[in-house]
Amino acid sequence: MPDSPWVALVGPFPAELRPSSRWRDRYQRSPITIPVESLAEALAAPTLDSVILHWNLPERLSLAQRVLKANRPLCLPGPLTLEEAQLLQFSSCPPLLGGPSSALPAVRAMRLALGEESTGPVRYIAVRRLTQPAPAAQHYAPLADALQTASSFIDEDPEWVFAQSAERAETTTIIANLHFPSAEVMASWVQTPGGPAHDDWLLYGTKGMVQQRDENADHTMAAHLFDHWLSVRGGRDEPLLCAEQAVTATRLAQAVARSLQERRRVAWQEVKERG
Amino acid sequence: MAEKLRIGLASGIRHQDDYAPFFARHPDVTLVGIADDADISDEYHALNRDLAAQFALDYTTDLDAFLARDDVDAVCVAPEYARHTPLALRALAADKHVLVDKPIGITLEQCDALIAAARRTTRTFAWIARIGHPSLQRARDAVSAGDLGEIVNVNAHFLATYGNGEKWDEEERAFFDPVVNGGGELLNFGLYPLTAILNVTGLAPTAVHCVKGAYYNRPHRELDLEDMALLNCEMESGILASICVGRAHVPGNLHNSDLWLEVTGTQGTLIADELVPDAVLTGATPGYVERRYRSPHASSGHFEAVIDNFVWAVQTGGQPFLGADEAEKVMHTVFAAYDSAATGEIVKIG
Repeated sequence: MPDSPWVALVGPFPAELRPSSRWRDRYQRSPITIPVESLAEALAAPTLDSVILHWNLPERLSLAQRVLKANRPLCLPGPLTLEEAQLLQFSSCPPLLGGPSSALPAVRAMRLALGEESTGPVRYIAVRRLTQPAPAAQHYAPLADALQTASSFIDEDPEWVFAQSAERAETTTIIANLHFPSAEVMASWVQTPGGPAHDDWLLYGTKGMVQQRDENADHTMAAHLFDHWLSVRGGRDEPLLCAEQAVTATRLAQAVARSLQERRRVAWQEVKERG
Repeated sequence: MAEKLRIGLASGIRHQDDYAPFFARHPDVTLVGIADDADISDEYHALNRDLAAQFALDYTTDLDAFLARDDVDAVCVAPEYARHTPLALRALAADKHVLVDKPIGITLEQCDALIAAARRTTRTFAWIARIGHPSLQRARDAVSAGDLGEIVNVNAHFLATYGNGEKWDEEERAFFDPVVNGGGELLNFGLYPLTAILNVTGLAPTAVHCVKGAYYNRPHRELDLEDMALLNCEMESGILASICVGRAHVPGNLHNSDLWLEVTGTQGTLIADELVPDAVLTGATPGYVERRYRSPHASSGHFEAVIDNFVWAVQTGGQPFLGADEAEKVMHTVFAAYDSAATGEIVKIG
């Protein structure tokens, strides 16, 4: 680990993204966000530590191939496409990947709050994600990310996924249910210019409930993810995200798409067998 | 009609002891008495007598004679749920104004019969649900004023926090018995968020998907009743509404239960929460703005406002908050949700 590792952020990360104060001294010296065109140059630089590819990058698969070919650690947040999942199966450099919302303070706080004595087993999770409209809507990534994060709080495999969508007044809404044998998840993603942008989490267990909100979460979660990645690279934190979760998120995105198209519950087994 | 509205209580069982104090202190109401049928259980007779004694009222076991009295203008029907429809039908047949507790019936057939009777009568018909809270009324004002712009999504939540958990007392069987109640918490509480959405936004579902089960409480598991249900509703304007309703075993707030409504429009998102008196609108353009619709009082008397509205409707001939049309929209959705939960399909309403 170099003294001043350079983590390149590629894609539509917020322009003002900077590491949190504990990293500021080290990272102000390095470029953070770089355009796609500069990736080759960055990969050739000996000071480059690793690369994070944003979940909304349309050409992310080929960029990921280039990063892995250069033998650089790769952070690939967000639900994976099938092709991305296949690429990573054969990668010798294990990437960190999964839902970016896992790194949000609200989600981390909920994870800390969970326990046999506090909440008891989880029975219901509601996540409501309000964002500004984004071209990535068709990928269902923010919704699948929320579903995957919610499912990580439940120690069971889901049985089915059901989703409905609506378009109205420049607003796209998708509501998805994730049904488990002993718990339910209801996630809604509302992309609306009226805002405000936030993530609301509500978790009910058999003994207690947790409620958390991240203001402007779709904007800040990149920063939180970045912080988390830096902590992991520095050996100060365990990865919150793993390949298995990313594959789950991919399947969830597929199930949501299929349910929307066919207006029916899609069995989890069916998704696993097809995927 | 006499200057004050003379109200009789058709049975003093179940929620009637919640409502009787509101009638007793209402300046435009005189409580006339409590009546019930003779063939109810001794326990029920005792409860009726207790409530009558509490408010210094007469208790009679000849309900038909009570309903025939000229000094009874209106009747509040609020015993165990299975008798809501039959008692309300008898009161309407006796040409009384009728206020009936939720749910108005425990089957779709019961509900439709009462709705039809309510449409035939020239008297006021109204029913009780949880729409009177100041925050919900402020939300209604904000939506009516167009402050949210066009409504694009609704989210509502009602999870009562006083479920039994693993406690199981055989004596409580009657409280949960579907023969008495008609069903689980979807029937018991599902109409709260549905009614709040209808009252605040004017929108009713056209189709519903539902999943339900027993997640928190042993009584519900033992009796094969749902203690939680999730509803995805396609609404009249083409938008979606998501609803969670149930009875958890979680001390989630200082109240025993909390209705929470979030309405998103093109100009912002409005939240009405029974835990606070105000409704709050937040928007994103430009920047982050907040507008608070203040309530003149912090009353948690959701039901007192509905009762007051009923009295007003009788006295003025005005439309109550919740009449036959609202009952049809809400109860048809509840029973469609049961159908959806059974089949796993999206069920159209109406």
